[in-house]
Amino acid sequence: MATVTHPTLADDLTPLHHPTTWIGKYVWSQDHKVIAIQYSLTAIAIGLVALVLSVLMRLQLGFPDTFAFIQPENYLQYVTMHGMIMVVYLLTALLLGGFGNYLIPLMVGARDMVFPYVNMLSYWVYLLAVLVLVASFFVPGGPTGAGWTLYPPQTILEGTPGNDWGIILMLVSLALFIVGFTMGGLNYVVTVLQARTKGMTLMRMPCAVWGIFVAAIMALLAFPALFVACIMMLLDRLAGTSFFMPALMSMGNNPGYEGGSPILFQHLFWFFGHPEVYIVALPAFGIVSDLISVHARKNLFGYRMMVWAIVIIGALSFFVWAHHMYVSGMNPYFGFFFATSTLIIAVPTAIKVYNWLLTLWRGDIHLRVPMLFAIAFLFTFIHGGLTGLFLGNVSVDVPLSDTFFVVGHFHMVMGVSPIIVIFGAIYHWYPLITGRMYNETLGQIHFWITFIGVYVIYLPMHYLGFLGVPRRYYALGETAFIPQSAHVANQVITIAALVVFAAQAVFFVNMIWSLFRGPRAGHNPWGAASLEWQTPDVPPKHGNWGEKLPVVHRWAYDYSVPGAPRDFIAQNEPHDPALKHHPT
Amino acid sequence: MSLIGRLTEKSWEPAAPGAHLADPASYRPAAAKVGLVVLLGVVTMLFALIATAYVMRMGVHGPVGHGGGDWVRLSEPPLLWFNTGALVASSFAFHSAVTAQRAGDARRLRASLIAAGGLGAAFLIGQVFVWRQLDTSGYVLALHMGICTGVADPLALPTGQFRSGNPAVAFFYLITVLHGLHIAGGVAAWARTTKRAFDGPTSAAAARAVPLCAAYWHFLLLVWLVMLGLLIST
Repeated sequence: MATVTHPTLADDLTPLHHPTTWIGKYVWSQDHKVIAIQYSLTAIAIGLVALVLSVLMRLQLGFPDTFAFIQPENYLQYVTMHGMIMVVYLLTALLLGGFGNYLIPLMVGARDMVFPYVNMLSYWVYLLAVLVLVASFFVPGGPTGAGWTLYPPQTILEGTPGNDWGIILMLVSLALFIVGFTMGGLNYVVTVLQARTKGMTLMRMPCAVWGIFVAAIMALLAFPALFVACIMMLLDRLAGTSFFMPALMSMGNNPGYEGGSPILFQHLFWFFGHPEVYIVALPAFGIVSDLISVHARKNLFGYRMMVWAIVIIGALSFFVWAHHMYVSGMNPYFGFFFATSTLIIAVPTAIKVYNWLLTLWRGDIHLRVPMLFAIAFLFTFIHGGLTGLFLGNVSVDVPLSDTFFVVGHFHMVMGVSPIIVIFGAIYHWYPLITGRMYNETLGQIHFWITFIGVYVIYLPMHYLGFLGVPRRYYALGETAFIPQSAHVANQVITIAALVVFAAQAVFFVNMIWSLFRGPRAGHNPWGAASLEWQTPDVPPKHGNWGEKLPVVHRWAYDYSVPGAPRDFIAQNEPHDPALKHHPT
Repeated sequence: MSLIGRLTEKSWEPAAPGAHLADPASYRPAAAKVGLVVLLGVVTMLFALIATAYVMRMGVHGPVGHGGGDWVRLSEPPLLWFNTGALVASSFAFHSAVTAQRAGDARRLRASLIAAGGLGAAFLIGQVFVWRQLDTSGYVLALHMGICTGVADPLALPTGQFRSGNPAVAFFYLITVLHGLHIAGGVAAWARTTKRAFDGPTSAAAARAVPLCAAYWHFLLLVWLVMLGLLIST
């Protein structure tokens, strides 16, 4: 019976789908590890497109009137596509589709995801969504330039770049992405609930799994809002409905819309959009907890509190969406409620930050590349979190809302922080995924340029914001209240952005070179206790665990236990009654 | 163990000998069952959000109203009641299939499944007729009209005669089409289940699939009744 209802949880390997051809193994693969790599490579590839767009934006902002090929409408298209690609197609896809797929079955001791075929479909629908999005660069009028939030009414009106084909492709692509993600999300949630191996209780799961699990539940509940918004806007654009489009005059013409509500779109968008911040942040929180514990050779401080904080943040994030809408013209009484709920989220978030710091406290810290990135995340996240407290308050947000302060805040907390964790995670799990070790020196060079570089880029933006420099503008022109120093700051930011951009080549060279020439990593090079490092083969083979599934006897953080023969005890090692237990 | 018990476990302390070592497959429900619950959760969210948008767009007074006063009440075609009857009957047929499967009555199982599928298809065909009736009454969406009247560029921003002014009509189409797609998914699941039931009425595969498909179908009915209530009461 067990082999039938729970094939991913059985010692018997026969129910698993065993591909025989190269295409079955690497293209139409149902193996969660291959799907994870497919997801990750696609996400990184489209992310590089968004990175290039950000460089083009910075060139225009730092050196206006220099680049003839960047026209105002191009600039708006860059802003839009950069934002949407980075948030949805890179971060969400990489953290959940990439790391979720790779880590969940390995960390909970399953042979694969519970629905491998649906998992495979999820990737291919995602790829289709990416291709539709990329197609919008090549259609007449180019991609949409409506801003990444796609606010109506201007999104579909004449005068907005890409209002003919671009916006249609964007909306279709998002709808496809959500369909694909739902297939993957179902897998992540049900695998965590149903495919944990013997002894793997919920509270023995590593924080990375907890973060991905809660984020997947949130995404399943939040993405329908974006789906509904996309379908309704598509109908407004194509079928002449007026869900979101009010009566208005556009370029001297009456397009005939009447009665629609742009604010309704904003509510739907941000009901998705705010949880989306935590859909990206929670996996990053979880991963960074594991990285810090492994490389500080110390158990995670307050594990239970860390798990609860993840769950509470996930739940609260559904009640804060309208803090993105303080200046939208919504009922002003809403502001009070949403400012309060926003500030309440700071409590569980602060618990997490303190626990990370206390995990480091008196740890045996090894400053290897993954640990450097993990510690850097603490800096960037605290920084971005504190500026979030500014913007969460209505009276502070209103003057700052349309300035570069928001760009600085948002990029520190949601751009840089998760990306830093992703880099740390890639370095950390690279020896498991490839079986080889990366080059430490190149990794350190990549880290330091990136870490210092992002501060040079984003710190001055807060200053620009206080000066009142507006965001989304193609050029500032001759403006009395903007001093010369702001223009100098913009040039410095652009130069730093170019340096950081170029430094990413070091990362790619390191990854590709090490894949072929890196030294063999061997089994569990970091001495990690969690289950993914205890596979019989490195990299793990199809089915992950060979003949027998592992049995879990302890949590994932038994490091430096007094009296133990090594400075970690793997999760699948039975208890030794003679060994003194390490007090927490 | 209760959920609270699970979430308050002190996992850093050594467990009692033999604790947590039962075979998980012996006490966990099948993954497909949990997967269905999660999927229905997503669908619930989708329709709940559409219903919320519907109420907000209608222009209810107070802080949530955003309508522009252009909402004209739509009188729904009476055919909807016939369709609803078909869907209710289909759900009953599914219930009969579940009891037949449990009792090992292969003949009633097959008959019930065929009846359930037929009634489900009747609902879908009935909905198409509802759309046609609305269409002939002048409640059309511009894309449809643009394509049918041979407009040179049906993807252009619709103007003038191609505008469907009444948001009640737009919501009616949106809700019924999304529910129709939901049913179409159900029909696909029904086809798989029926094949399994015909291949082996007492097989383990049929024993798993029939109750799950029935649960999906009852859920479809529930969503439809809530949406129908919203449509006819406003």
